[in-house]
Amino acid sequence: MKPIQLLLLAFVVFALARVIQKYKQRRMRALEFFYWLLGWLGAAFVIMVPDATSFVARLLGIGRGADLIMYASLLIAFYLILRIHLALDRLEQDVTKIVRAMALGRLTEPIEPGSGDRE
Amino acid sequence: MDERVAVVIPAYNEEQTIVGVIHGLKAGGITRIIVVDDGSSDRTAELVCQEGVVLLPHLLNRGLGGALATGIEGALRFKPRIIVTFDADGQHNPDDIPQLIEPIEKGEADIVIGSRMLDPAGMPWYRRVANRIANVVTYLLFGVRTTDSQSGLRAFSRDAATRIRIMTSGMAVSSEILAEGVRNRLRYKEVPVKPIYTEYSLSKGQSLKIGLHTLRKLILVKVRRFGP
Repeated sequence: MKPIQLLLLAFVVFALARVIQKYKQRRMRALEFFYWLLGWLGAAFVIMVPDATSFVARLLGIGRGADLIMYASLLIAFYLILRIHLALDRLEQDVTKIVRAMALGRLTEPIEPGSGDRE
Repeated sequence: MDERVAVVIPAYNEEQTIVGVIHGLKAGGITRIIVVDDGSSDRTAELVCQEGVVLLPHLLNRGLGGALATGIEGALRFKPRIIVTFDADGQHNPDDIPQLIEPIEKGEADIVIGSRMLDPAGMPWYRRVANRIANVVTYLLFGVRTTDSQSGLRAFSRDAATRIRIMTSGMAVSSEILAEGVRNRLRYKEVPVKPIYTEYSLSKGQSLKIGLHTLRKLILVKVRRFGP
């Protein structure tokens, strides 16, 4: 086993331990735990059997396993960024809803009875 | 002008001009004025309080779209016939309101925009260029033909005001409102207006950075609402 593999594996074990701990403390939902578990175990597998990536890479027509990892990582990263973007957008809208509700609760003229609420 | 025209003024740090704007509107016969203080850090809210108009204070700054949506929702509670949006920086002339609302009163339109480009004399060249670009973008994304997609002087029939949903919070709202008009199949008209350009009001427009930011937001609006 190459030193780099040991190093990376150590990190993965550490990350796995954190994930399991968080799940046990009930600070992480089951589905999330499952994804992280899968991800880190997958990373451990790739670290221990690097030729596995070369195999898949050749299947797909890419030269090296490392390149495959790069491409896949980039794609996943972009996807996650998009999700964050959308989540932030949602958050901003929610904040606006709160600020608006606060503002409208304070109309200085009485609201006619029966006019109802808009939402 | 009776009480059934409600004017909504979104304001962010406009202590220099807001009182003058309110007075100008009152002098023009407007009695229902709703100012949205969008989290100003200056004395805007304080000054407005002394004017005897409705003040809707935002605890945090939400941007033009957020302020307009709050103002329109607040205005609707008074059941006006027509809602007008009006800028707080003194760029708009209250004398333009009668011709702005005329098409709605006559039943010819649901949304009316006061276009500065129908008579662009006096508009700085860079504003004209930026405006033209914005108009093209608005057309490409939403299919709306307009000569002044960024104008803040707008009038809505009460029905139109209840139907448009404003979800953007920044300055993309101008184009978003037009897009909402298209989505709700509302009748749209433009009337020419002459803006009042002062050094102050010119400093308060959109910059290129905001423009690009706005473009990104508008693309999001288009994708979310109309699909790619």
